[in-house]
Amino acid sequence: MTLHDLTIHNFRQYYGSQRLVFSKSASRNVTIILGENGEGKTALLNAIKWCFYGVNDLPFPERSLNERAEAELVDGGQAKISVAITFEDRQCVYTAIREELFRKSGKALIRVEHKFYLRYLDEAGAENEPFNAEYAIRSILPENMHAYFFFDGERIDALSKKEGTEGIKSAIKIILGLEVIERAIGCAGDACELFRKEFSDRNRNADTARLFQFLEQDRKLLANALERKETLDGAHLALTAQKEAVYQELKINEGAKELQAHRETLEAHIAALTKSIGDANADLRELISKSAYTAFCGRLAERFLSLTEKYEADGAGARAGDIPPHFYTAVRECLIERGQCICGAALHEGSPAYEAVKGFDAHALGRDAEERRGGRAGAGAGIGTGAEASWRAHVFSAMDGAARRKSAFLARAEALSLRKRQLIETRGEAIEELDAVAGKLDAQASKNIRELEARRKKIEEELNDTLKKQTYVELDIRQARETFEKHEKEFDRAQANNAKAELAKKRLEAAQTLQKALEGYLADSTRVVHQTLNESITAVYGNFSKKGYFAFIDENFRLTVVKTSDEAGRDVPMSQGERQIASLCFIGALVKIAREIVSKDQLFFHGGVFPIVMDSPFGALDHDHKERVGQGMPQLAEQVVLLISRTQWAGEVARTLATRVGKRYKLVNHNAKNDPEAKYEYTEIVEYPMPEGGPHIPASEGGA
Amino acid sequence: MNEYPMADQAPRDALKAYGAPTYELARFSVLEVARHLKEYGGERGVPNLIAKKIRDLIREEPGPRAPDTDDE
Repeated sequence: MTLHDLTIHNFRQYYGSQRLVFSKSASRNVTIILGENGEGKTALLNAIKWCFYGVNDLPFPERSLNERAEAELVDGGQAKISVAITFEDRQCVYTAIREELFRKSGKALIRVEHKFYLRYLDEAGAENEPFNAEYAIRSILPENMHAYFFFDGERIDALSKKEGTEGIKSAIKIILGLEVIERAIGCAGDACELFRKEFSDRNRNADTARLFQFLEQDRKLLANALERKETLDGAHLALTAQKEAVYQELKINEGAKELQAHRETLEAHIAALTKSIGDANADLRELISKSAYTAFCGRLAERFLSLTEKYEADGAGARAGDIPPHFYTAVRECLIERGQCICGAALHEGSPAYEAVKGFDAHALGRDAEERRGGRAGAGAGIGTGAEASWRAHVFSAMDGAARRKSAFLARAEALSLRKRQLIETRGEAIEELDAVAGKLDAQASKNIRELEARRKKIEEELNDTLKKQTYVELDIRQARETFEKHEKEFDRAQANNAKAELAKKRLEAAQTLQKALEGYLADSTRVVHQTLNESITAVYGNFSKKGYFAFIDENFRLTVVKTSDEAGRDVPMSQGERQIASLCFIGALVKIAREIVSKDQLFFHGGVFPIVMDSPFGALDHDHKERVGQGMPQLAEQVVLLISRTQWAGEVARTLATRVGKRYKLVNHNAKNDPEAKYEYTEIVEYPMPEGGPHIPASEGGA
Repeated sequence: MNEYPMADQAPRDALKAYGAPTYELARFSVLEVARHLKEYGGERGVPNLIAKKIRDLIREEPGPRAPDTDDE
């Protein structure tokens, strides 16, 4: 950034438009602006900061509009303050303009507009503006760096005091991009948190070993039950075969064959009856599930119908079938409470459906009843939108039908129950008869028949026993299968979670490693930066130093000066002047680094050539220090702008800088004391060229 | 002057174990912060971007990996 010129308009002491051009010469890189206290040196320094960043460190910043410009405003009139700076950065010429518009309202001054522009000429020579001018100017020179380039010379000595270490640390971090690495460490830490949470969420309830154990147990239980079933099925088949063999023998035995034939008929009959009982049960279940509700709503239907009949009997022109008004009210309230109309429309307060239901009252009923009597049922306003007539028809039909359906349901249920009872009774009789057959066979004279019957009984008992066991084992199988499937699902879920937890853990470790890597990265970069900075400080300090002194930034970021000859490396006790010099060296080192990194691929701060604009650089210095600073100043930066009082300028400063000054201005203050016609105090910037003939300095400025 | 002298070796070795080119990742995170600071004035959203990058690099199933150009 090389400053070309500055135009200031109605800002503080400066009335109207004033312009100054900065020296850009390499050999005469210093611009001097001479002014006494209160004439506008500090205002000029602040005008630069305000133009670039909108900051104003002056007291009463709200009173930035020039006093005279404000006084000339009529009520409702407007005045503008503006600062425009033209500068060059990376072969591109920019003009930064910040302006504020004020309006006078009675005695008050109201700020009505604040604007910032950054214009540049593009490659085709056309004027252009970046998308975001405020960000663009900050990417050329970060706002938090401006204090190291535009500053008050009397205050910079603080950098070399103990309290200056934070400022030094921060400047180093910003200018060399370390701050960005620090923030990246924070971001990597936040990424760690994301993965830590993911891991902890996935790791919860993921005890796959325990679930696997359960699963194995379930598997064994199921296998065992299936094995038992197979054995029982086999036993059942064998017993059935044995029973069949006994039956065959009985069938061919003369003394038993009739009874056996009868037994088989009875058994077939009992089996058919059992099936019929099952069918009757199924019919009954279906009937109950489909029509049992009619038993409960029958009373409701009866009550509803009696209400309408009572309404008719009560007169008032009502007829059977008219719905009583209180019934409507109850329905309306019920619908509003449940938030849905019978037609399905949602009833939100304020919605058309809500309003229709809410407005459905006895008047509507009256109209509707009239219309219905006139044969136009359902033509009036009703619940929902026109659905009322069909709804009423449906309700009456449902209420009527409910009573009828209840009777039908009860009759059918009774018939089915009766049939079931009869079937059970018949089956009981058949079983008794079957027992009688068995008794008769038992009582046979033939030993063979008795033995066959005894065998049959035994087989029958065993078959019954096997059947019971088969039922139990089937239950066991069902339960084991359900438990197995449940645990299998849990195991699969846990396994998936485990895999995800494992992945999250890997990612967490990667993020932690990244964070550590960045920390190492920062530590090493800081060390290298420290070293680079100290090399620069040493180089810059050479321009200012007393012989045998050495300046550097120690490990605690403290700016220190030591005597080269002091082997113990003890600090030199610094006077304010010495501190100012040390601080200037630090700033000079920053400028040097910024210049050196300009071509590097820096991540955040691009570096570049920067000027130094310094207010009162020689304020607290004695003659010796003034001379040293005067000598070193032009070498601090490519371009140096000094705002300086005439007394500071005179003497050794003018002598040492004479050959380096390219432009010189003086601030001419108009006030009632020096200009009786000046009603308001204001300052003019007047070019005040260096005397021709090179280094000759007039006596008034300390020359010979 | 070396921009980030440390970045050349240690982080790259450390993250290689996870199949991620650490150097690229570290550089990515610093660049993302710088970009966000410039464009949005803050690093909001960067942690999620870093996490996404790590997720892309460390996947459940072996998948295509970004070429590790630092190996040479």
